[in-house]
Amino acid sequence: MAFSQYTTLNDAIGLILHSALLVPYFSWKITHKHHHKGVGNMATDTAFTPPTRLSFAQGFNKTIEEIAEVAEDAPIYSFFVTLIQQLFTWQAYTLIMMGVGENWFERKAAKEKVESPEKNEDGTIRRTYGLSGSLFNPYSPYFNELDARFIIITDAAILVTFLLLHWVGRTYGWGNLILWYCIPYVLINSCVSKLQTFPQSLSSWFPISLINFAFHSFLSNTLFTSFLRRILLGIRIFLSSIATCYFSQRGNQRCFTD
Amino acid sequence: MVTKGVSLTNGIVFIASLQHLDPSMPHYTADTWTFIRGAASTIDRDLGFIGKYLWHNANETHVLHHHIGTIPHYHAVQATEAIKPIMGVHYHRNTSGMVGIMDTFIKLGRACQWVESSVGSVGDGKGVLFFQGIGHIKQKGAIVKGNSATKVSLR
Repeated sequence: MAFSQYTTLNDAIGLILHSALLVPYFSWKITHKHHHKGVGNMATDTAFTPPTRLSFAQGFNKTIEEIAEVAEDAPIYSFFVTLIQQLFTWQAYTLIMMGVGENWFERKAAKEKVESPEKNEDGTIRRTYGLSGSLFNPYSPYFNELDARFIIITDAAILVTFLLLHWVGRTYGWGNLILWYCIPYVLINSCVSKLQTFPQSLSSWFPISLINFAFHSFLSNTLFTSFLRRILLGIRIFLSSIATCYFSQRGNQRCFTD
Repeated sequence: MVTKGVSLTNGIVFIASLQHLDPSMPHYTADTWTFIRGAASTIDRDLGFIGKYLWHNANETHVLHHHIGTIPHYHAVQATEAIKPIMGVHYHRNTSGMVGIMDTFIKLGRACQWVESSVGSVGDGKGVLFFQGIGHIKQKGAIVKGNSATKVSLR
């Protein structure tokens, strides 16, 4: 009610402004309400819910000790994580339930009529991501039957924005569209995703889940971790051997056995 | 260094995540959570020029926003000043400013990766979860000490 005392006017303005930025207005209104109702609650929060120790380790299919050994002070890893977060956190949040509490996964299982959902060792539900939990889906676990029509309005508004963007691209050139819309979108988008969703922010379980998500289809986890380890260790050994060669007179022997 | 350099350019759009993340603030399991506990586990961060003029003080007044969500942004600064004396030590604020926040941000990435209950906690204490991260573990030179041993406030 910060804008006007009329809810309809508020919603209309909100819908137009959010849709122009490809943000699903009513979906976000509802999930943001849930975020306020359960902020800091590991079960019911809908934003920035961090992983538990167990789920963090599960993301790598390793123990924490092993992950620590591999990812020790690797700037390139941090950089990779940062980049992924910047670019995809918000999309992942809207599309596949990234960074929400475990109750929502139970509701999702109930909605999908899964008889006995898989459990983790600590008794919590195993998270299954998928488009059925999307903010664009009128029947996703966040919404009840009465909400569904608002989500459909939201989707229609997003579609109109896409059509308008397409028209702008066709009329004024796609290069201009990128300059006028896409680049500002990336900037604002990463700002928004940091502001409201994650995760997880920095909640590191997003990149881990994304890595899983991306690699699970064509690489086994073990393979991937050894790949990661090899790259990280390789970089360290490479740098330290350069440093050793550069600063010491002892010759190559030492450099390459280090 | 790589991270730092990139973050400085990118960081401007990055730092707003920090309102729910700090090693000093717990998360709660469903059993131990209450609304006021959850609302108090948020943090105000001072983003200097950007926060004040571009983002309507969203980051500077986030604690208030979670306690009384109906106060609009144009009254939020005044209201935040009003809740400070009432909340006392429960009010979290980061005053490191726009430059200091970069350092905080880098540290948070290492320090806040997952949550777990503190070592030696009993009863309801097990339901209070603090952030833990590989960065912390490595910093202390010992693996898996539990949060109580490694908790560092980044404010």
